[in-house]
Amino acid sequence: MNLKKAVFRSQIIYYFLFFIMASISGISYFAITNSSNKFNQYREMAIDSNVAKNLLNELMFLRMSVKNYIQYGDEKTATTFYKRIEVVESEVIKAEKAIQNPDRRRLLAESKELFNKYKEHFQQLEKTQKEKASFIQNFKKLDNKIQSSLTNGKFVPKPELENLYSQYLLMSKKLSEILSSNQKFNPEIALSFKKRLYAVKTKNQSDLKLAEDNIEKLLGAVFATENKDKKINFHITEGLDKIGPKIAKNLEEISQSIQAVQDKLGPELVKTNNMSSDFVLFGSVIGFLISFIAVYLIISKMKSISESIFQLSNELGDNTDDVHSISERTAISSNKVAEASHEQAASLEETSSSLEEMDGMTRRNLESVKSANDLTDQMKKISDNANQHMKDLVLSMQEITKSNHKIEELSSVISDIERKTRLIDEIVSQTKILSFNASVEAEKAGEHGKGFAVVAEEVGSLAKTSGIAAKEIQDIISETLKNVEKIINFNKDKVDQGNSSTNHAKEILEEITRFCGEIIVKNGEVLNATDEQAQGIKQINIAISELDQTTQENSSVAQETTAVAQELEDQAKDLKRIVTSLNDLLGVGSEKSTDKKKITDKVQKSEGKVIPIKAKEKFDITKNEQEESDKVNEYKKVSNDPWDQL
Amino acid sequence: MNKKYILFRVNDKFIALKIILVREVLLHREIDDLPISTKNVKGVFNLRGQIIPVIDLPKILGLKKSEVERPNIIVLESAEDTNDFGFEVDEVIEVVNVGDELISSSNESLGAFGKYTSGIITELTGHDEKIIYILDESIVKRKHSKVEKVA
Repeated sequence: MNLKKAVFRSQIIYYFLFFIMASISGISYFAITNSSNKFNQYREMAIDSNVAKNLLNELMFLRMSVKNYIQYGDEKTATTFYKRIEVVESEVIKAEKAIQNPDRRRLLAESKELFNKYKEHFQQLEKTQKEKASFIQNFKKLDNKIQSSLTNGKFVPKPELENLYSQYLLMSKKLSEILSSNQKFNPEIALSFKKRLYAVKTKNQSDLKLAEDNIEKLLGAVFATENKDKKINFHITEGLDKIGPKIAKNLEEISQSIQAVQDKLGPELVKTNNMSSDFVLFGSVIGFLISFIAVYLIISKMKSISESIFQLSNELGDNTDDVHSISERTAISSNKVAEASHEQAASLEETSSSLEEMDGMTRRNLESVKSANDLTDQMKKISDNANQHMKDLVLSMQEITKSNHKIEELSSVISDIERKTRLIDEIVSQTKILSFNASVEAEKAGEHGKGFAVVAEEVGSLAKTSGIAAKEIQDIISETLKNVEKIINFNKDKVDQGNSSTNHAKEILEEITRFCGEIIVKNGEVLNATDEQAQGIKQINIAISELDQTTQENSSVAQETTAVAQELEDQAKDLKRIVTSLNDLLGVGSEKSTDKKKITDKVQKSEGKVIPIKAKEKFDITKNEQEESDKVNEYKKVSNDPWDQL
Repeated sequence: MNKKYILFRVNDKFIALKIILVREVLLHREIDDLPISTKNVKGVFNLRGQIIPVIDLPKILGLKKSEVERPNIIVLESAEDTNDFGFEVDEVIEVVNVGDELISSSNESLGAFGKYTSGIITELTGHDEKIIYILDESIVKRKHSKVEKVA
């Protein structure tokens, strides 16, 4: 196990872990933030809802105060209204601050405007009420004046006016009732009273005059009051009674919209909360597992590293012991190297001469191949020649076949002869018969026919001889025919055999020709190979001369090696010191593994080999040891790391 | 005293006939079979305008039927009251001179063969091993009546 690699891997695991934890924290943070956002929204909703409810409450109080004022119409109730409306305004400002939803804001703005109108109407109402009150006071003054003028200030009417006075009182009472109860004023009452007043005016002119004037004023006041009443009614019915419910409706809408949103938001909030908690729980579990695995991996890795370091330090300790003896041997060996170099030089010379011989052999090979090539060419020519002869042979065979045909023709000629011989035979038979008949005739002629009888006999014997000859000829001919047929068949068989043999021979010859071609090609290849070989030998010669030079250089190198061996010993001492400190670090000091034997074996084995190479190997080992100790030092530097305690 | 005989063969038998009885020897003639002929007459043939009956010699002599492809025909000289007639032989061999000393008399024990043969020639020059039967001249007369009946 490589320490650098292990540290690198641990770092990777650490970063990976960090990354995983960061991811989990991020996800958890996101989940919690999401949940808290929802909660905030919900809380805002709750505030909005509270504000709307308060406003509604205040509106109710306000309207109640208006009712009070309308009922009592005194200064106290008006003050209560103003106090209430102040509270409402402050509540509206609060609500404006709190409510962010555009729809609700719009409704709130409308409500605010309506509140203002409500207030204006109320102010108008109050003003009109005051005016009405002043009119009523004026009416009372005028009433008093009229009464006093009718009764001369003693409130006891003159006898002539007594009737009129009582009538007046009735009217006055009625008018005051009308004024206080908002009843519709009927001008007829006033007009009929006026007529009566004018009817009695003849007797006490001055008093009546005053009363008359005042009554006009009184009626004016009643009319004015009635007008004011109308105004009041307008403000109450058209203004306050309409605006109030509107505001209430607006506020109710706000409250309802909030309620709807809340109803929707509530379950979502619960869900989001649950999800966030799940996320966080899951993240925590995953994080815990990954940390556990990562820590386990790192621990196992560090364990194996520390084990390998421990082993290495043991080996180092063993090696250090060995290095000392090896450096001594190196010195001896370098001397041997010098001797070996001399021997090598001698061997090289021998090799060189061997190579020259080899070169000569290669050349001879080349010549042999060339002559083989020539021979093959000749062989090819010969086989070509044989091929030509084969062709001639085939022609001869064809000639034989032709002559066989001629023999067949001859055979037909013989057959002709046979036919002719049969004819002769026939003639012989007839001659014989003729001779018999001649004998018969001669016999019949008696004595005269005796000579003829002899002739007939002779003819008969001639015929007989001819017959025998003809028969012999026939036998010979049939024998000959048989023989000829045999010869023809034999010739035919032989020609067929000859043909097949010729074809076979021809094929063989063609194959030989083909082989010759192949041999030529192969020879060409061998020629090329031998050329290349010759080239190779030349190059080897060059290499050998270079090697010779190198051997001489080796000699000087061997001397240098002795000096190097001394240095090696010094370094061995250093190495021992380093190993001691490494063992201290690992806390194992004097423990030694069984590997010591193995390493010693290795060293002993390498003793027999060529010394320069061994020395080089040792150099490499020293270098490696140096690196290892550097690494250990590094490791020592970072031993404050918590991992060290693992 | 020497007499001339004509020697011929029927199947495996060698037979001789006095040459004086012979009218003519023919190489071969096609026989026209007669469907209603008696059992001894084989058929007839035309000899230069004369109708010659042919008797069945092997049958008369009690021999097997001849199997030669082209048999010779011997036509006999007619006696006073008979027509000429002929018979087929396998082969006419030759005309021979036979001395009386070579002829031994025929034997009755030879049956039908003995009936129509008058003697046996032995030790004839050139034919030492053979037994040569001499066809009796009575055959001419005997046949005469039968042939006449046919005619």
